[in-house]
Amino acid sequence: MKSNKLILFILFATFFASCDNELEIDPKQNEDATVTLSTETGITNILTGAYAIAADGDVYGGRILTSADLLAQTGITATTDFRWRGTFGECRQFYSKSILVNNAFVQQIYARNYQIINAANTVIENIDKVQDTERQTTMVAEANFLRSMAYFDLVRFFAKPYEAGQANPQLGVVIRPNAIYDFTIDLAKERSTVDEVYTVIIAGLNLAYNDLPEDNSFYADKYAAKALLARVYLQQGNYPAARDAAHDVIENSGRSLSARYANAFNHDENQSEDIFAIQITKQTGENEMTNLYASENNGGRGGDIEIRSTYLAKFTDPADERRNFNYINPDNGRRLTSKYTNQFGDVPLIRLAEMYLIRAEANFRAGTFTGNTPVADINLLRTRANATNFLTVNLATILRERELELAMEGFAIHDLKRTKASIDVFADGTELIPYNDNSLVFPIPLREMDTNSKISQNPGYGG
Amino acid sequence: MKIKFKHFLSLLIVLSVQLTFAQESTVSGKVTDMGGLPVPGANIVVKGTTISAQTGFDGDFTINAKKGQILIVSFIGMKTVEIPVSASMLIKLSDASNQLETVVVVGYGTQSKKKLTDNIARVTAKDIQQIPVSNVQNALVGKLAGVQITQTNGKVDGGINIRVRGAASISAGTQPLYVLDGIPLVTTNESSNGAPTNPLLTLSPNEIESIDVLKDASSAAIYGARGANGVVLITTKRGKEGKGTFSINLSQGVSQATNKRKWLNADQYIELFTEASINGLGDAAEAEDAFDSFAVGTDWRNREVDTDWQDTAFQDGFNTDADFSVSGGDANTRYFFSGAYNNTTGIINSNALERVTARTNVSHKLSDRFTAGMNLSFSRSEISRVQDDNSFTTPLQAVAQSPLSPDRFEDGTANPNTLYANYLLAIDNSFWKTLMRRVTGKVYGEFKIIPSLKANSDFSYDLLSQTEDAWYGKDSPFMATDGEAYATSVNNETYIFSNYLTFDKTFGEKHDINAVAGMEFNKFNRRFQSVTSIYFPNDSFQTVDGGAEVSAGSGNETDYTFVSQFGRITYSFDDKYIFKASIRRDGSSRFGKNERFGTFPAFSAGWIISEESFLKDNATLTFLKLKGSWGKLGNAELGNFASRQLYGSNPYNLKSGLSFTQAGNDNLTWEKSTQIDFGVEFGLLNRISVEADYYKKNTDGLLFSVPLALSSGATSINQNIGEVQSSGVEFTLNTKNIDSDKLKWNTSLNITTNQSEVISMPNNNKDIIGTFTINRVGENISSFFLAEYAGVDPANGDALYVKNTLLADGSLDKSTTNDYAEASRVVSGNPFPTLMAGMTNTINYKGIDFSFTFQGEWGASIYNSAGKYQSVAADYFDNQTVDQLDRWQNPGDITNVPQARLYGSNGTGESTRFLDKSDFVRLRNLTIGYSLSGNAIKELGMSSVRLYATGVNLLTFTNYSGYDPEARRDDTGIGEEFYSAPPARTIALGVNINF
Repeated sequence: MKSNKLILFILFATFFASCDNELEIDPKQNEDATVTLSTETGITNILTGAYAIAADGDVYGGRILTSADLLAQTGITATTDFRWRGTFGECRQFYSKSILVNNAFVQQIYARNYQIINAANTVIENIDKVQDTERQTTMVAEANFLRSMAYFDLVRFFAKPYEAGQANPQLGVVIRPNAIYDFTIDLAKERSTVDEVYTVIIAGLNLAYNDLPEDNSFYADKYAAKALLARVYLQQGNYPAARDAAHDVIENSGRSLSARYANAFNHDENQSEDIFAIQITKQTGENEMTNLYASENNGGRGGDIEIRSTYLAKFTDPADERRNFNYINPDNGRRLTSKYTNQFGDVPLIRLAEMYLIRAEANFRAGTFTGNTPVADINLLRTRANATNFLTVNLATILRERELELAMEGFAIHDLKRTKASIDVFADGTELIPYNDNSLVFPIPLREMDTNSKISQNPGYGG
Repeated sequence: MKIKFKHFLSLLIVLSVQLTFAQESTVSGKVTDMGGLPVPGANIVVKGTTISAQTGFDGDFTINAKKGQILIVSFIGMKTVEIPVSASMLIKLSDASNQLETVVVVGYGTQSKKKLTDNIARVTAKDIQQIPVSNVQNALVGKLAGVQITQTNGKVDGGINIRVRGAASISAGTQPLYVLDGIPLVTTNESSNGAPTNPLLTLSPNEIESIDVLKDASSAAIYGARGANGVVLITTKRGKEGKGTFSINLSQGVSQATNKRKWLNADQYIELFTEASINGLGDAAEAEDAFDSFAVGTDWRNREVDTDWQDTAFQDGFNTDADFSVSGGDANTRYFFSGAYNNTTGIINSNALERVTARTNVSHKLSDRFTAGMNLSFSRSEISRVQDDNSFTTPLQAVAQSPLSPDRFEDGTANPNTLYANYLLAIDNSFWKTLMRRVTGKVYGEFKIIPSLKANSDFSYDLLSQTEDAWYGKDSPFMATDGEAYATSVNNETYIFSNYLTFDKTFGEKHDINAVAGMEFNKFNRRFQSVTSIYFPNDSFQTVDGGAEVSAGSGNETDYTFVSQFGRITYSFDDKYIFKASIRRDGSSRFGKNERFGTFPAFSAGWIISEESFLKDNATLTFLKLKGSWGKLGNAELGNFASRQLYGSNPYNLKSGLSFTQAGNDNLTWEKSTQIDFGVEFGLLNRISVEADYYKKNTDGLLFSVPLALSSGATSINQNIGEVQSSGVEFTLNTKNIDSDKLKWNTSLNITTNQSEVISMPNNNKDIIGTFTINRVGENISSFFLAEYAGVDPANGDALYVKNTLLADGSLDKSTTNDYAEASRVVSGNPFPTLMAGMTNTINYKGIDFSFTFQGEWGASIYNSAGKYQSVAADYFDNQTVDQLDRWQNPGDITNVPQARLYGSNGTGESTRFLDKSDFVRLRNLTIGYSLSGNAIKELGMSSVRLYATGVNLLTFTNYSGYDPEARRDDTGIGEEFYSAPPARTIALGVNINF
């Protein structure tokens, strides 16, 4: 009897003693933030992670581009350049200018860009963990580039257009100047003005340009920053600055136009014309462009966005390779662009061709000939596309050339806004949607309205 | 040796008895219940000897005994009798439940129902067996007061939701803890296709003896931090002393959907969309262009094709059940073996289940003081699955296709040119096969230290190993890589080591003390891996090896541990006054170091008034008990590392990267739920027994995934903040309406009310708004929050919404608007029922048995989140429900369906237009059986045969307009329907044979 009790006692005692250690368990797929933020590899990986967020299909993997193109369409089959034929209601709302405050794609664009911003801020504020000072400088510059890129798209989509040559006190987007580590405190904040947001964007890109190396593999380099700056200045109508930035990229970036128009697309790696591209592999990133533009055989959904004859009619030369850079999906007869036929191909965000277009337009508007004449820059692209050259150009032909060259690459709504054009719904002037119409601005997502007590909604989307 | 010797001895005794009293040594007889129905499997022992026997299926028995000896006759759930041997014996057993002598299972022990101060609902084998459903939980529906059981939808593998006394949580787990023979079961949903599977699909009802649901704090506190959502204790069958029995059960059934919806046919489709095109775009060109494309060359103008897509998505279900069991034992060794086979073809195209289970439970008494045993079961469930409800290729999304599109061409191939990807392409060219394997077992020993004190030690192990194999061929939808194969493997294993002491003694005749104290260690590990490969030579290669490129892979692991100590003491005085106290201290790896341990006490008391002299032997009021309890419980189901601020892997271009994955909160701990319960139980005339309970549970420190401003860069944070209250009344009535020798009719009725209300919320009671729901102080948990639809403007056919904007005087602006953006959302319904009832009637007449169960739920609503596609008067080309033909056409038309406008978004905003009340009453189950007796069967070597017919979901009474009030979307959402399959209506025929 006694021995039995003893055995039991020992059994219980040893068991109790050995168990408490068993409560110490760490996650195996995640790392505690304190660990990540205290190590060099942690900080460098957060920077790479910021690119990875950008490579999500919700944002620079595609939807930031498709949203901009769909938003600029008439929404009417007979008059549209690109017809939305897919089933995503969110995209249909862009197409038909009836965006709801709970549009999930709008929310994702908003949320992901702020994830990029917080990751960039985190890198900048914890850069002291990185030993090498040169590496520090480059990383901070890359973080600035990504943050400016995110703010630029946020302010273009979520705020009323930038009005050139005047103050822009209209509401922009929330600026987060510091990284957020403690989420238990009140994080409500009102939007800053459009002017303030542009100030942040330009400062970040200038810093990036100054500090980035000329070659930075597939990450953002010096000329990626400059090229984005050219785009920002153009959006602001600051033509001399846009011209000079584009000129710098053309002259110094070492990039060159690809031999044929077709070669500029569907890359697995950056090619000569790519200034900055979102890298997609089978394992990382999502090519949402192919998903929406390609036939099922090319890795898409069958052609959610179809090219209409309205667009083809914009080409004056039927031999223009850009006019014929498309195919008919045999499954459903839709005409689809050949720009996106590689399911795991990279998504080009900035091509050198855009710099020629910016330089041509800015030179033309400023009446200057920096680098080359506008007609020469335009003809460079036309020659490459096997299109007859122009003898002269005017603003309309330059802007039209942008449509021919850059269609379905995410420019349409932003060009429409900066040129103060209107959407001519029935192509007869009976119904115009002006460039600054409420319906062409995204709503602040309902989810943000519900959680940020200080933020204001855009006009036309309720309280 | 000892055993064999005893066997030998008994054999010797029997032989000698037979030799001496050859004529009168064998006694035969029959055991029946009070209604005269045979009681098979009853145990008969000659008192003071080891001679025993069991009754056959017809209740007959033969035993070696002589006059003057006493037979002890016992059977689970019935009152044990002692009766002197006579020549031809007819022994009648009465229901023990009436005498309140039923024993219920509580954690780490058992207790008599009579002296229970807890609230425990119980079903036994006879309540759940032979119901033709493929999972145990479904067999319980309508039979337990206070317990709501809902299968997500009609897929055979569909997940199950059980809510005990309403929700005690908003963001953390709401499912009860399942404990099988003392083993907390792995209940991880391991589906990787979006729709949950039911991890308890691996259990076969035929191995279950009883299920006890611990509902109140007093009973569940012994499970501490894991008891707040209730505890389901499952006890498997064990062998009984006596002759071995072998029985088999076979049944086959057919099933169909409980309901189908009505969709436009080709005529109606053309009419409505042509009109919509003209209204929306000025002419019919857009619609006709689309019709051409849907018709793929067929002549839609002459209605050449009129496909009923819904019909193709459903199929006739078919199910086969076969099981057997062997059980028996002697004075020292008891054994039970069982095996079961289930093959269910679901009602959804290509959905099927095939399951094999087996179990053995053996125990052996090594000495008077030491008993050891082992329970072991294994099962294999292979499921052929369809995609989750939010996939284009899930069969039920076919209802969105145009009726003008052929489903298949003449050569039998699926039509690839449909509006949405044709799910038949997926059926023909892909599969999703899930295989669940489970091994559950425990070894245990029980040692009597002194007669009143015993020590138990159990070591248990549960393994749920699941693999999923998906293959997509060249011609499957969205396929651009010449095929894809995806394979996963996941092991969930848990082991539990528990040791406890039980003390049980009566002092001075009147003082009963029962005490339990012990400890338990539980460790869980989950290991997952998956791999995807693409580019296949041809469709005959369907595994990962066939692909040219491995395109994705994943591997991860997670753990948690619990270390617990527990104790319980029950004291009763003179069988009248009962007091109980229990406590458990739990430590878990799931919480931060500062909040790692929690203590959960409970107290309860009962007064059996009918034992008092003034009521004793009262013929009318045969039993009366008052009881009350208070206790604290925890809910630890919030994920394994919810408190940590985390970064997770997020690579870019094949370079490693890290991204923020979770906002941390160092103070995170379990939800604490405080529950009270007051109850009365009484019996009248020995025929009516009533239990009524009032319960209230307050859960505070609620785990909330609080949404954060998206502009912070994070989406949500886990916080212990807020409080909810769930309260209501439970009422159970059991009556014996007729109790004669030939005819017996029992009724069991249960009614439950539940109000679950949000008491306080994070961030100064700020609303937390989900997609269609809101948690707001003073409202039900997860109330629907939607714009209020106000019908149609008779003047122009515009959809109208009530503005509901707050006016200066604090009231809501009830004027209407046709601008959806102007309408504010309002609380507009409850996704959970506030009243539930179940009623079971059992009637026995001679050899016929007949029982049926009605079940009803009231107060809930369901939001059809596919309404904006399927019931919006031809806004897009999705086929529409026929009610959309009532659209507004001319000024002055009074209707609820707006004018049809293609792409017009007229009434498509999320609103109460798509919300509907889901009150229902249904004939859940009906069984009729007939037991054959007589020589004909015996000549075939059988001792008895029962034939039966049974059905599930036979009738449904509801005004709900969707598929079924019990069909909800399985990929996300609360109380939503989204192309969700209705449950099956099944009718089966079967036979039980006893050898």
